[in-house]
Amino acid sequence: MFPAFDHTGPYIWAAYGLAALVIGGLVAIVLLRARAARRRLERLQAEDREAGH
Amino acid sequence: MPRLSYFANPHRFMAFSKAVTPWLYAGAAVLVGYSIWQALFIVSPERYQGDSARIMFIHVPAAWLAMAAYAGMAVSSFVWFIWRHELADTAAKALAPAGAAYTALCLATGAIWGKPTWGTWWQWDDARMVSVLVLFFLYLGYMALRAAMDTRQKAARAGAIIAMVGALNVPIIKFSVDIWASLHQGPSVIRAGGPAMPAEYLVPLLLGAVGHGLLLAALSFTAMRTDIMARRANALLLKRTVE
Repeated sequence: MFPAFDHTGPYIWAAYGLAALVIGGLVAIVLLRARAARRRLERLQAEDREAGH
Repeated sequence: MPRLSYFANPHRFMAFSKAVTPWLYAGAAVLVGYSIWQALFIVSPERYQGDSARIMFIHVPAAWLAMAAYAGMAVSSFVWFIWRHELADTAAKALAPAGAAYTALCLATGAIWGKPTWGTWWQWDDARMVSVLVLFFLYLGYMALRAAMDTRQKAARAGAIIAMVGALNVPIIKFSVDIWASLHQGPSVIRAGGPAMPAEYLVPLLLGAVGHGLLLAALSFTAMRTDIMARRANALLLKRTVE
């Protein structure tokens, strides 16, 4: 399953683990913020429609 | 083909980005996934560095994206400064967090690669390392300065100035290994005479870099859409207050 690297294996896994954490975290934060902004806007627009604006 | 200024209208940008962004995420996932699969499972160990050279497939695209994002921020800021296109400021603001994340990743993976290769995590007299650290602080400074301003116009102006002045650091990073002594090797991809790297390494490296570029574009479009939606929501609230 996992490739066998030379003595530098821990450095390689550390680099790729960190990359997954940073890039995955960045994508998650950006998408969650987008979802929150979209929901907030949709809620306000729905309230406006209900109020007859 | 429509001119870029055609998309400077937020309504057109929202329609365009809504259609394009999912494809950018999909393209990024395929290309970055392919690059990582090649890096970890397929390419053979490098002749001198052994397996540690596999870190290159994440470190080098991170370095390129860190510089590309800052260059994009500087160009967007320049467009805002001259023509006052609000969407240009939105783009500059959106690029900063992703650029900072890629710069942090470049610094961290560089340190991790440096230890088994050069025997050190960090070297203060290495111009490439220090100039990338300066880039990271420029990103942090840009975001902190914007956050400290009380109006969007002030934030845009202060941000544009720091982005444009800081852009001087991008060519310094690129040419630092040619000008000053450095632990880093000279250019091996973009150089006169063509890349000094076998295709086995070059192809996944370049495809991975394109994938990270697509991801940066997707993240920036998403962040720009978030900003526009937040402004529309605030405008609705303001309208209620006035009424």
